Order: sequence, then structure tokens, then C-alpha cells
Amino acid sequence: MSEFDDALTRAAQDAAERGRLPGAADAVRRGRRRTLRARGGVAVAGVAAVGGALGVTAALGGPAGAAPGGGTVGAAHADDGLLQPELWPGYDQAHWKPKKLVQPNLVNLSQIYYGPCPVSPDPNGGPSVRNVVFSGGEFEGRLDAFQEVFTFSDSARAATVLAGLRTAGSTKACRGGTGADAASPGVNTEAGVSWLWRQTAADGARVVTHSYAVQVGDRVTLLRISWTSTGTGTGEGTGTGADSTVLEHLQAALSR
Amino acid sequence: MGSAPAEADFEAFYAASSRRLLGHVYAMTGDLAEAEDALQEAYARAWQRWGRVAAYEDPEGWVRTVAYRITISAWRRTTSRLLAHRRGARPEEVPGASPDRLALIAALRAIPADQRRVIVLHHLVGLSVAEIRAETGVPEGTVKSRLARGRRALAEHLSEYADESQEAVTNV
Repeated sequence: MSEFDDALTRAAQDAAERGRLPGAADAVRRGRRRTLRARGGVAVAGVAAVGGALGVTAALGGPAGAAPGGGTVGAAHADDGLLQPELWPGYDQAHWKPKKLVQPNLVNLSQIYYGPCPVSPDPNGGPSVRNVVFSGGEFEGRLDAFQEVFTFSDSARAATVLAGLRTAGSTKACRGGTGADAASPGVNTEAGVSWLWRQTAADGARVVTHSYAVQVGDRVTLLRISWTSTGTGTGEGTGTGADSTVLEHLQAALSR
Repeated sequence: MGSAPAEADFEAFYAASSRRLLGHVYAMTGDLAEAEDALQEAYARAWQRWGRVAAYEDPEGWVRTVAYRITISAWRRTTSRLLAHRRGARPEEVPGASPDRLALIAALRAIPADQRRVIVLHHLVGLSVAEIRAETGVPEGTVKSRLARGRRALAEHLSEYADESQEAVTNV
């Protein structure tokens, strides 16, 4: 073993000894919970405690009845509203193979949309949602993507969410983020809005997350494509030239 | 998944591999808290499909790969940074770590992630170029190139290993 190998091994062992892993039982519990959630069989705990202003229901397979978050259940939709992955930006590179999940979930919208960049007057990030239709793109190392469809209790609530999202591009720097984090506008059209969020991670990797949001009726869909550069690529994605078309595609999918 | 024998088997796998894998993922990320989070998430995913993962030739490699992918996922990074911000802790703060080991990890963090990964897989995990190709899915030529560039980049940050790294570059 070389001196470098030995030093690296000692550093790793040192960290492993100082590390605090929760144990196998925690991994088993976590895995079981996720499996149950994916099957749609678990009631969301603690929803009432968070108390969202918005009632949300799953577009597909979600439980019927009043939303614990305080809202009422929106209309059932025959179609999931997801865009064909062939129309997602970056398909030529990533060949996305999304997997669809219906997740009873408790999600803070502004955290989803902005990460550490809350734009809501509410420092905790604003409304909560209850159920999410989630479609994860296949991870490709430098590219990952997913689309979510949120169904709210009525169109007005969904419109309020999109109106908030239309301000995303004006957020020049993220409160709580680093100076390297910044959002910038994409396009703002009748169909919806797009924006980019550039980050520089602690390890120097650059991440550009390109987000698209569209509202139709009581549903809002969000598509995010993240381009990661580790220093050898540009990591800038496809630019915003095609954003209007992407928004129209999303609108069409959500209108089905 | 969920039978008692399967759970016992998984627990034995966790006990035997978790410390070692934590060291690997830490070396790949340079952030112990992030490594812990990603590795635990990877184990949870392994448990979800334990019937298949246990039958793999190298279940540890599967967990390591998943954990690595989690660490470089943009969304995961975003969430982790939010949590770190809320905790008020800087991720690079590692109480108790010796200065020379911190310097080594800092040097690793300074090189591109794809180079860092192959450096760790080769020099820490002990994988051959062919095995790294199998784990990362990149061609052997790319693995060798990343090893050479990574060593060269590391040598710029770690003068004490510079000669050794230069020799290694010529041997790839």
C-alpha cells in the first residue's frame, strides 16, 4: 500500500469511527414506510399539525374524503397530467425513463420550488400539500429530472400557487443560501412560467436546475431538470429558448 | 420484503459493511453528515429490494453506488444544505479530525467529483480499473484518464504525495 493509500484509508476509517449511523432497524423502518407510501396505503401523520392553507388531493389513486390539512378534496382527474418523457428537455441526452408514484406526502411548496430560497412571506414556506403525483426521472449522473402534479381543492388555490411561482425569477439571491446561489427568469407566458436556479456546491460542482410550472384548473404541475457540472462540463443545460414550447406541452398534458 | 430471516440477513449485512462504506462515501463527498444521510438512505433502498440486492455479486458496491448518486443529486444536495443551514453548522466542520486528514479530504474535495470517485474507488476501496468500470459504467479509458487527472490534481494540493502521484500517473 502506498503512503497515499494508507493516508486515505486512515482518514476514511477515522471518519467512519466518528460517524453516527442510525442502524439497520432505522433503514428497515424507512424502507417499509416508503414501500407502504408508494402503495398509497399509509395515512399521512402529522398533517393537521402542519396545517396547510391548501387542501390537496392525489390526482391518481389518492384517498377520498376531506383533506386533513383543512381543505376539501378536488375533482378526480381521468389523466395523470404527466408529460411524455420524450418531451422533457434533455431527453436526447438522458433518455428519461420515469417511474410514476402516487405519494401521500406532506410537502412544503416553497421548499420544493426554491430549496433554501423561501420567497413566501411565511418564513416556514407557505402552504402545505397533501398528496403528490410524482414521476422520477432515471438518474443519469449529470442529469436528473422529475415532474410533479399537485391537485388542489379548487382552481383559485391552484392559481394562487402559480401566481407565486411567477415571481420566482425575481429572486436574485437566496436568503439562507450562499452568494453563489441565484435564481433567474426563464419565460413568463400565458401557459406558465420557467426559471433557472444556479448553485455552486461546496465541492465546486455547479448545478443548474431548470424549472417549469403550469396551472390548469385545480392542478399545478412542476417539471424540474437539473444539470450538474463537476468542472469538466458546462452544466448550463439547454438554455431558455425552448421554454415556451415546454410550457405549452405541459399545459396540454395537464389539460387532458 | 419483511420476513424475519431476511431482516436478520440485512442486519448482518449492515453491521458488516456500514462502517466501511461510510468511510468510502465520506471520502467521495468530504462531508461526514452528508455521507451519513446518503448512506442510510441507500441502505433503506437496499432493504426495499433486499431480495434482489442480496443476490448480487457485490451488494456493498450497489449500496456504495446508490449512496454516491444520492450525494451528487442536485435535489438531495439542496435539501441537505437547507438542513445544514437550519442546524447552523458548516458541513466541513468535523470535530476531532486531525489536521493532516482534514487536509487530505480538503484536497479530495478540491478536485472534480468524477475524478474523486475513481481515486477513492481505486486507492481506498482497492478496485481495479476494470472493476471501477463495472461500478461506474464508464469506459476503462475514461477511468484511467480520470485517475491520472485526479492524481495530478491532488498532487497540486498535497505536495507530500506529489512524487508518488506523478509516478502513479505514468503507471496508469
